[in-house]
Amino acid sequence: MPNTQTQSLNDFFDDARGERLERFQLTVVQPRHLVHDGVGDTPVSDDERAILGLGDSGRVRMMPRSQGSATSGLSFAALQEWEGFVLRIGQDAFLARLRDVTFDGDHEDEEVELPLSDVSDSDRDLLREGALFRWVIGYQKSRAGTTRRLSQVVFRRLPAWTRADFAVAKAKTKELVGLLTAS
Amino acid sequence: MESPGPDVVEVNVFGPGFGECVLVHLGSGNWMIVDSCEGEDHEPAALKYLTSIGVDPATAVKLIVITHWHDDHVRGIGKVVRACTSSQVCFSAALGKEQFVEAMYVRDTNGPGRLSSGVREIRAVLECVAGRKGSVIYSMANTIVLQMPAAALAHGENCEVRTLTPSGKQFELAMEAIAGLMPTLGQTRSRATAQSPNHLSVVTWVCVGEVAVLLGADLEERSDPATGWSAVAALPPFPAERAQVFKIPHHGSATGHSDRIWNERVADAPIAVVTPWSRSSGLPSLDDVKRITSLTPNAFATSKGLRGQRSKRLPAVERQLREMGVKISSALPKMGHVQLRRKASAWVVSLSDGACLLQELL
Repeated sequence: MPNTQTQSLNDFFDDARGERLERFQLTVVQPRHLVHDGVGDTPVSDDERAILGLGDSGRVRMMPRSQGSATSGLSFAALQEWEGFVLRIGQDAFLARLRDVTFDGDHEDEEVELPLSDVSDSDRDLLREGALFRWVIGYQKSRAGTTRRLSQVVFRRLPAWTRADFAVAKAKTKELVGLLTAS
Repeated sequence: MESPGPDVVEVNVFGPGFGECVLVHLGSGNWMIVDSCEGEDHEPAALKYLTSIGVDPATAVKLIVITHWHDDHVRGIGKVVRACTSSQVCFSAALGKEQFVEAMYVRDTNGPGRLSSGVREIRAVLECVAGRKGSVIYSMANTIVLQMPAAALAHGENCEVRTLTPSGKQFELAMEAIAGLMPTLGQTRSRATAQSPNHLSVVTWVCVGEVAVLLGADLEERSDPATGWSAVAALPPFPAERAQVFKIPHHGSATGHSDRIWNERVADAPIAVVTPWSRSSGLPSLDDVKRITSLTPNAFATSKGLRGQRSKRLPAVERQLREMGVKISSALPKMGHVQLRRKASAWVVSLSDGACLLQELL
């Protein structure tokens, strides 16, 4: 039996502007011994419980488990979420610029050095300079009431550039360069 | 702050610890801007300053030089160009080539979403200029990009701005690097990131009468006589010959240093201004500070290079960050400002908002 368990959750986030964010798959890999019912191993304060109870308030969003998930009965409430991109990759960590999604920041105002060990094996091939990711801190709840605090770095599996992208870029280039040289 | 008098040459260097912008008053209300950076309020430093002293950027700014497209030099430059409606825009000839424009469009189409990017800023600039039916001045080594006759200026001195880079070889190397910027078919979309070495950086020589200002951008020395500072040093003498003010290249790094430039193109004990870079281990290093302060006692920094404080999070988030041993820092510390005003052969230096003597970084 593998000693880890993978759970896939779909992203259903709308941001505070009502803008539908690009859908991506959140993959949670966790030690199997931590996936159990019963009393949670992470205490939850009253204010955090209050926050969890707010549901989809814009600050905390419950993520429904996806159909056919490997583990059933789990939900995830994001307390804090960032969108980021990789600036530089070091030996043990990567440096990234962050935009605060939870508080709807319009700018990448923060930087963080995250350990490479926080990148799941399945995302390693996506880790490169310029790669985009989501970083979520929140509570995972089981149907039986177990609550665990989790941090997840999820690299976005963006679509590849297509022939159409290149064709559009070529047409736009021709138009722009034409305008600039005509002046 | 007050607007400089019409006969006063003023050099402003802004730097929040990540990014830089230089704003120069050439005389009689004519200004030029080199690069752009933003502070905590996300307003481009040059526009904010001009507005604060009652100057209308739309009519006052005559030239905008974009040294290269890296994030720390172009934040807000699209907004700057849109506001400065009577300004000419100048950047490296390599950025005007179809190869760059095409890579720019591919990268920015379905690229970083709401995340900013230097490429997106350049796109905003190009589309703004094209929309105005304007043109771009393409920089090459020793190219005059602005001239104003003495008769048009209150100080009665001729004014000339020339770009000193790229050299022919640097242009070729920049084109090779731009080829690497173009993604390949089937490659996962990602944000364009800075390329190294930087062969795009535009160095500017500003001359008003006998006063010369050397703006070093991010140009580095690569021990190749045909590129970098060696190629600049090999150019024929410029007007005024030696710079009294030197915006130190590449955040004071050792790779931006050139003995020949200090010995042959810069005056004795010039005013030197460093824009620190607070990422990672940061620049300038202690050795860099020692080197620069040994070359001139008149060295200043736009900031102490400290990272700003980030906002507080929910207690559970703070606990998680502590347990992970992860520290988040503000990428936009307070905007520092070094102001140099010259009148009657004397420079007056004003430091504000975290700017300091360079030796204070020791």
